[in-house]
Formats: sequence, C-alpha cells, structure tokens
Amino acid sequence: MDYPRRIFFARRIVPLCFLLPCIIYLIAMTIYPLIYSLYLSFHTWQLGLGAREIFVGINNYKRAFYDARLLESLLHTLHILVVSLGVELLLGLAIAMFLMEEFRGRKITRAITTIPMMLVPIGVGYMWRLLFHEFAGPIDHILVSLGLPRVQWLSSVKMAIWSIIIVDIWQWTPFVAMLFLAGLQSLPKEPFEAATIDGASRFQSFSQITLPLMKPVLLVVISIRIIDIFKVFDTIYVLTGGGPGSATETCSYYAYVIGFKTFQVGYAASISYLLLILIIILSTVLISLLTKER
Amino acid sequence: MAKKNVGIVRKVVLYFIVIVLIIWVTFPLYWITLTSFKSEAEWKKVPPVYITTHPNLKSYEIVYRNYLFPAFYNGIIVAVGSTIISIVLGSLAAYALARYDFKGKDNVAFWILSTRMLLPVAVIIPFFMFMRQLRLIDNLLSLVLIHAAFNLPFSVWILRGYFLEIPKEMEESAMVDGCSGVGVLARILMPICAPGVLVTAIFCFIFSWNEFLFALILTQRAAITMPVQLSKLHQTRGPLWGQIGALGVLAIVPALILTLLIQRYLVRGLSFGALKE
Repeated sequence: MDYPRRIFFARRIVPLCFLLPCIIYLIAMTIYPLIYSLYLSFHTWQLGLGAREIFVGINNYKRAFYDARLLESLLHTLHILVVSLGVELLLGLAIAMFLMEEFRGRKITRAITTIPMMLVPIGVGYMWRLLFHEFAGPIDHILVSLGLPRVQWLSSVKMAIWSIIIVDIWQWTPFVAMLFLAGLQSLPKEPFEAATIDGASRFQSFSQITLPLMKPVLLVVISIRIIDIFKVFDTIYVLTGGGPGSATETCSYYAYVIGFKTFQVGYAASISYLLLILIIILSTVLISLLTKER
Repeated sequence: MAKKNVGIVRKVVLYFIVIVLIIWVTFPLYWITLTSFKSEAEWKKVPPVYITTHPNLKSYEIVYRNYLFPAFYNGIIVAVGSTIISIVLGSLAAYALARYDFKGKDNVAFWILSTRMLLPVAVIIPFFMFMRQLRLIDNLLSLVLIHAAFNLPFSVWILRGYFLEIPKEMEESAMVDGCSGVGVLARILMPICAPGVLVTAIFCFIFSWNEFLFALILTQRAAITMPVQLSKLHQTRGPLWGQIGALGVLAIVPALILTLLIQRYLVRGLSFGALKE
C-alpha cells in the first residue's frame, strides 16, 4: 500500500477497533433488549401459565392510556421530582458554596458529606425505616417530646410519599453538592476579582457572576437527577412497598409490579416503552436548553 | 475590635454548620449500628433507647451463620467482574475518543452517554426472559454482564476525561520507539492515570455492590447479593431489626471504606462524568 492510503487506513480503522468491543457490548446489552421489549409490548403474555404470547397490536398502549394507576404513578413521580430536586438543588448549592470556604476540618467535612450517596440504597432504606418507625423510632420520639403531633411516616397515604422524598434528599444532596462543588472550583477567578475591584457586594457577585456561569452545570445536574428519580426503586421497595395501597408507586415501581408481580410482561413492556419515550422527550428538551446556552 | 468580632461570629456560624452537617449524615448511620447491637427486647422499646447499655453481638452471630454467605462473596465477585469488564472495554473506548479524530466521533460519544438515560425497568423484562432461556437465572454471570453494561458509559466518560488531560508527547515518543496503540494505552496512559482508573474502578465497584433491581430479578438463592439478602430478611421473618441492622451495617461498611479511600479524587472524577460534555 502506498503511504497516504496507509495513513487513511490507520486513522479510520484503528479507532474503530478500539471502540468496537465497547459498542458491540452496549448494543447487545441495550439495543437488543429494547427491540425485544418493543416486540413484547405488542403482545399479551401471561408468564407462568405456559401460554405463549398473543399478538394484540397496540392494545397494550391503548390500555396504558386509560390506566388510572399508571397516571397516578406518574403524578407521584412528578411530586417526588419537583420537591426532591428543588430541595437538593438549593441545599446542594449551599453546601457546595460552604465547602468552598477555607476552614480547618474542611477536608474531613467534605469527606463525611459524601458518605450518604455511596451507601447501599437498600441499607439506606432500612436505616430510615428504623428512624421513621412509629413509636420505636427516634424521629417519632423527638416529635412527641417537642409536643408536635405524631406522624405516620410510612403508613399514611398523605405522608408516605414524604418519607420517600426525605430519604432521597438525604442520600442524594451530597451528589448534587459535589457536582456543584466541581463546577464552582472550575470557575475562572478573573470576573470575581474584577467585580471586587469595582466594589460589588458578595451577593451581587453571586447573582451576576456565579449563577450565570453555573448554568451549564445546573442543567447537567438537573438532567442527571431527573433520570435518577425516574429510576427510584430500592428505597420505595424497602420503605413502603409502593404503599400504603399504591400511594407511593412511581412509574418504575408500577412497571415492576405489572411485570414481576402480576407477570403481564407484554403490558409491562409497553409501560416501560412509554416511560422511555417520556424520558427521551424530557432529555431532548433539556439538552436543547443546554446547547442554546453555548 | 469590630473586625475581630466578625471573625469570631463567622467561625461560630461555620462550625455550627459543620456540626449540623455531621449530625445529618451520621445520625442515621449511628442508629442502624446501634440497632445492630441491641438485644431483641431493647429495639422494641418505646420510647427508643439512644445508648445501649448491654451491647451484644447476638444479631451479628445469627447473621454470620445464616445470611452473610454466599451473599457477601457473590457481591464481591459480581462487583469485581463487572468492574473489570467495564474498565477494559471502557478504557479502550475512552482512548479512541480521546486520541483520535474521526467522522461521527461526537455522535458516538453522545450515543454512549445516552445509554445512561436508559431506565433499568425498560431493559429488565427482556433481559429476564433472555436469561431464562439461557438458564442463567440465579447465576452470577448474568448479573456481571448487566452491571458491566450499566457501568460502561460511566467508565468511558470518566476515563476519557482523564486521558484528555495527559499531553500527547509521551505517547508520540513511545510510538516512535515502535510501541503499538494498545501498548501505549497499557504501558503509558493507564499507569499515569492510575488515580483516575482507581476512582472509576471504585465507582463501578460500589455501583455493582449496591445494585438491587437486577439482582432481585435475576438471582434467587445461589447468586444472591447483599442488597437482595437484606430485603429478604425482612420478608420471611417479619422485621427482626437487630439482624437487619447487623446485615445492613455489613453491607454498608465496604462502600464506606472505599469512599473514604478515594476522597481526594472524588470531586474531580465526578466532574469528568458530568461537566466535560
């Protein structure tokens, strides 16, 4: 082969060879199941009765549109999303800014703050189940001692979802804080120095410089957390089991119940597909916001 | 004088916040550890006991004899296996993304990242059916494979971030000396980026160790992992909190230790995963 062709060969083929194992693996593990899932969603299949799948066209999707429990689960997910995300963003940013200050013991504080997000979610679920326990739990004890009314954290329809929210905030605020911290640490110093010279107050430099510069980070954090909250499963499984009744079922949990408790795999597949589409729409909106900034 | 007062006020406020943060993080951990040491009579008490007077290891004994194995070993095997796969495949892919320019590179990168958007629920049903046909239910291999798949995008992204930071000169001189592409990767980049590789590996390990949904569906008895074992403890016997506490503590400790080990690199590693898009 003459020289230019060899370079061409090397430049094109070599990176592909590096990438290929990864890509093939991902395709096998994700694209293929998705295609099969799509196939399943057009069938009814009750696992375990020995019956094979029956083609039903888009009946599953039609059923999903009229499914009140599915709609409820979406509302629950939205509820958790809005509250958890809101609190986590505020607290996370506050903690990140706090950790930017210099003080003795800063490293240790930072280390300790990162702990919750690394723990086994099931373990965290049980931890909080202990804390929330009516009568024998410390939270209840503290509330009563302060003269506040007892709260049935895990067994009342109204409050159960708040327990999920609290646990999610406890576990994932550190994650948000760390991402914000990384963002804050990578901000250029010059604008801030210029602002101080011009006599800007701390609040002014925060709102005029920090916030706008952090917008990309903010969007990334939001998109990651939104997907994570849609995925929430472990804590719900342990804390409330989706209950009482179905009061804390999120969409993922509902899909699990349909697929693995009632074993209607066809319908479950269609639900998960609808959720997938929803997430893709959400992500596309967020990404377009992100690229608009650039 | 006024300046000194402000300094003291600032310090008090700072340390107050530190204390609040520490209590916020450690109190739940303290509580579960406490419960694991309580006797059965103690954790039933109302109002709750905050400091146990007779710490006993009975719960740990029961857990050790009945529930800890094979869950603990399984967890380690799955975590190590999936971490190895995702680091090997991920470093190869990250190298290609970091060092070569080719048409469609951004698309590939974006596609790899987009797999993170995948809801596990969407994948799990077909995966379960597929594994059922292969008779791989309750087999560690199925878990290793799916965990690696979910860890891959993450590995690629973070490793790429680390690779991008290393100047090309070192590799170029090695290539002139006759080193091949893979050789460069293995002998130069990886050792230099060892902290980054370590962070990625530990993140993958922790993710796999903590994973619940797939482990729940794909394992039964032989391949059970720690989180699943924890959940089963609750169902079969009703809430025996002492034992749940003990097993919970044992499940949490490995991740805790690993986290404290990589503290230095944590923030930086996360930033590669999220910010350098």
